[in-house]
Amino acid sequence: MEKRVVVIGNGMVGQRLVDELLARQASPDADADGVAITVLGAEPVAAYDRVALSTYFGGATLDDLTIADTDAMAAAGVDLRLGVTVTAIDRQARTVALADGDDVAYDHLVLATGSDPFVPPIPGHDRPGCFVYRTLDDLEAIESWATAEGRTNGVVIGGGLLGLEAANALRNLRLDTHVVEMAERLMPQQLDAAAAGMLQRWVTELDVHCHLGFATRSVVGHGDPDDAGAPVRGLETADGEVLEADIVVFSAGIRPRHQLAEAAGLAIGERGGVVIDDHCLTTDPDISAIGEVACHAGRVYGLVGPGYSMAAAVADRLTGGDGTFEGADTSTKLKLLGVDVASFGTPAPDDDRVEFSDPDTKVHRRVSLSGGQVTGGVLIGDLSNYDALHAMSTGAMASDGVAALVVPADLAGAAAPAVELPDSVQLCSCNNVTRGECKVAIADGNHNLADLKACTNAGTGCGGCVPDLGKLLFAELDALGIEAKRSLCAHFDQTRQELFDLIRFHRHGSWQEVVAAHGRGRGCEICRPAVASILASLGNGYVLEGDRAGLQDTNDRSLANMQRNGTYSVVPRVPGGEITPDQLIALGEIAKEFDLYTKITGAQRVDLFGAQLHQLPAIWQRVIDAGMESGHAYGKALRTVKSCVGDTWCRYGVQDSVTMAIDIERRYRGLRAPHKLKGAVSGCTRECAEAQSKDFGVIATEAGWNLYVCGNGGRTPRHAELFAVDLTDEQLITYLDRFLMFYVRTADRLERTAPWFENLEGGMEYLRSVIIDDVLGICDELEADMAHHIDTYECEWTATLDDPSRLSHFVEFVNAPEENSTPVWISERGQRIPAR
Amino acid sequence: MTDTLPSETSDTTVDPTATPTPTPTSAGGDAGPEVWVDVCAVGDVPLDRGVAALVAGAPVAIFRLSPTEPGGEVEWYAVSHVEPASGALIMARGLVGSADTAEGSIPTVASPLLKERYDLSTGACLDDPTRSLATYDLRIVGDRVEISPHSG
Repeated sequence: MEKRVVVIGNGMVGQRLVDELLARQASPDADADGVAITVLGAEPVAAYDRVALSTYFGGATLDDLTIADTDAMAAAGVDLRLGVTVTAIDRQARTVALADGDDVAYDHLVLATGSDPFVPPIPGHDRPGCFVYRTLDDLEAIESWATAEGRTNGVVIGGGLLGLEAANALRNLRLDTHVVEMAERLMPQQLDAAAAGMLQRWVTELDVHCHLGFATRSVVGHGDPDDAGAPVRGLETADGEVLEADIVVFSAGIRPRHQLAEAAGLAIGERGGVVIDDHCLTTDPDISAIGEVACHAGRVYGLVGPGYSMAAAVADRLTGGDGTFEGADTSTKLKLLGVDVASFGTPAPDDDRVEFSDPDTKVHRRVSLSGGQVTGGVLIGDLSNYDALHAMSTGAMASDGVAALVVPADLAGAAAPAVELPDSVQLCSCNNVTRGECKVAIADGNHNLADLKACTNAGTGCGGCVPDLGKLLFAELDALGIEAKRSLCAHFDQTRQELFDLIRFHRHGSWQEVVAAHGRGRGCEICRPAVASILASLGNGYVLEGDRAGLQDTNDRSLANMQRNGTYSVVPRVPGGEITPDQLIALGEIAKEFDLYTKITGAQRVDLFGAQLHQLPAIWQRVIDAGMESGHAYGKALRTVKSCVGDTWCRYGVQDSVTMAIDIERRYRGLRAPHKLKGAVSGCTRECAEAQSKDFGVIATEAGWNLYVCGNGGRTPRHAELFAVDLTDEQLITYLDRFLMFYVRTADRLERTAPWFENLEGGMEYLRSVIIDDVLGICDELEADMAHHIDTYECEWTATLDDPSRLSHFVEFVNAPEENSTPVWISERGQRIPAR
Repeated sequence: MTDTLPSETSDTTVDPTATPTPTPTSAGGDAGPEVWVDVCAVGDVPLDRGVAALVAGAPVAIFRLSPTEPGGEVEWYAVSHVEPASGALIMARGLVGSADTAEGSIPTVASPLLKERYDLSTGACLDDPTRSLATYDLRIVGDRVEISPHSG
């Protein structure tokens, strides 16, 4: 019989438990009986990434943050109940009671209720304008309060890890942001004075004001000092001074949400948390606790990593294994307000120390040693040696050459030793994947980043380890004697990117030149269209000119989309989806005259089906006469830039999305790329143009445009990721020029932007460094290449019709120009379709 | 078969068991009596890009392939224009190329629809042994292309 497992809490750790259970059930050696899972979540939405919560104000949406795959859960039979409150646990009956009166029976119960923010009981802490920072609801409440007229100042109480996260959120809301901390330094739990001082330099540079040694006596309100309902005006110190604040966010620590367990009589730790043993079992063997609600060996872990380890241990036990949790390493490596911060190990105060501080670069490194063995340390501003130092602190590798890892080579007098990290070293801390596990996956045939990520889960959490993963991948492929790059096909040894660079450098203009210089044989259906695409991207004019005509794939060859019966469809460009009544009438008349099946596409255009090869010139002449041009639906090229009506019509619009979409579509029309390109512009955050499913998506904000890149619909949907916020029109176009040309130059053949991005070593940070900071020094070239494309663009159908010699492409039989084959048609819903 | 021709005289059904005849550039073979149909001028067939013709009513795809190495010979091939999987008249619009096999490099054309590759010299499909293209004998007389209407 199935074991009924009930999970209270659908946060990150609770969700991890469900994922681990489903993964174990799906494995071939799973216990035949299996488990039936019920999840009870208090929040109205499924599990989301609480660690990344501050990105919500940076443009991330609920979809971006959501980590629960509710479709997969439903398919696996998980009963996910959201917005429900558990009121009691009946350990005798083995049921939990819900607020709506329902009871849910369990064989095993897992508490994953997490924690509540701690709000110190200072007077005025509950005034309007005081908030905590934990859930999406909290964030929405903060946003609606903070964005009201005249609110400019925000204060976070608490200078720890969560406090700095909250400060980032307020900063993203464009508030003048202050952090007050009772201790004399930031992150007093993790950092010593020198490290905290360096962090403070970074934070101050971001215009976040730090007030240290700040004791809040009360939260004061506007007007009558005795009116407890008056909105917040500021924080009053013991000295009677007031720090002005229009909004106050408490982030002064967390308290385990153990009330249910306590009421059910389970043992509670001295400082809170449900006591668990090494199997994560509470004092009732039918109940486990995991994550921030659990107290293991007297310790409550406030990090997601140990919570994930507990979830894995419980999932293992529930499916017949004997997983244990024996405490966790609390070493952390993270980005706070964009600053790299790491602390590792458990150094003692009287340990030896190697320390380096450079106020210019704002880098600080401190490593503690005892008897020559690394015991722990702190790194601010540069984490490049974190993995090695961390491995030394756990004993995974010998503590050799520590000084050279801490002090720069020119000061140390010796270069840092080449460090060979052992296989046991963790590579991905979000998903607890070791370097050894990644090596095995590479040896098993996962030879690109996307496959490796999918196979190991490494790099799929915060993404911080992806550059390391990439380095490991290439080192391993080298060691295995495998050429890391992929040659295009049997006729070319180069990758598409290399071939692109060669053709660009040598200014080749024909297939014969390219194959003679760099390839062999007659080519094939892989390399011929790839070369055609590169030649077209580099602006070599009419695509059917010279020997390039014979390179074009099926659709490009006839400048129309071949359908299953050998006839073609015709798609005129409708920039931004804006079309005049006269154009619509013209399309209708053309379709009637040629008896073409007519359908509205998903890209806000009209598709006319059933044209025969010889009819294409006549049809296109009519389309062009109606003021339209080629839509390049037949090319691996820019297709459409979809738009909503924006602030021209919509009550909610904040920018003119239609004009922007038309401008962008006209700018990049005809741009040949490794694969098709789709864009969209939405006039407000309601996102009616579905910009986040496009290769590039633009969403209007009050202050400008947010740019998203590398999204995809289709077989493997992927949300576009936020690239930059609040751009001016000029910035937006500049970044798009560079982004698109960088993709055109570097992607593999038939690689959409989404998989290209997945394989991009360094991820979004790298992409931004190339496009915004120009670290490769190629932005001028990219812009020049795009300018060349824009200057030389011509409508391919106009060019075809203007030159009678080009019409020979559209004759069906070379020896019988008047004769044409006749497909068999039938009629369905009043239109002509191919016979089946 | 969803296409019909204006003059319905030919049988373009492919017999997969038939032994394909190589199509040399000279007259040839034992495919039947020597009947040659004048089709078009050499210059009407672009290099490496097929054209279709009606040969005694049958739709035929003609290919003129550039040499694979400098100084090599131009090669001519004629196969059925009917795409075997769909019955559509489109084979001449497929991409040509070469494929390396155990027997050496062979000239190919890929279906414009789902890209199955066919050996231009034998009509055999490299990706699906159940399919094949009929082949036709072809010869060049002066600057004229002639095809024998009996398919192999």
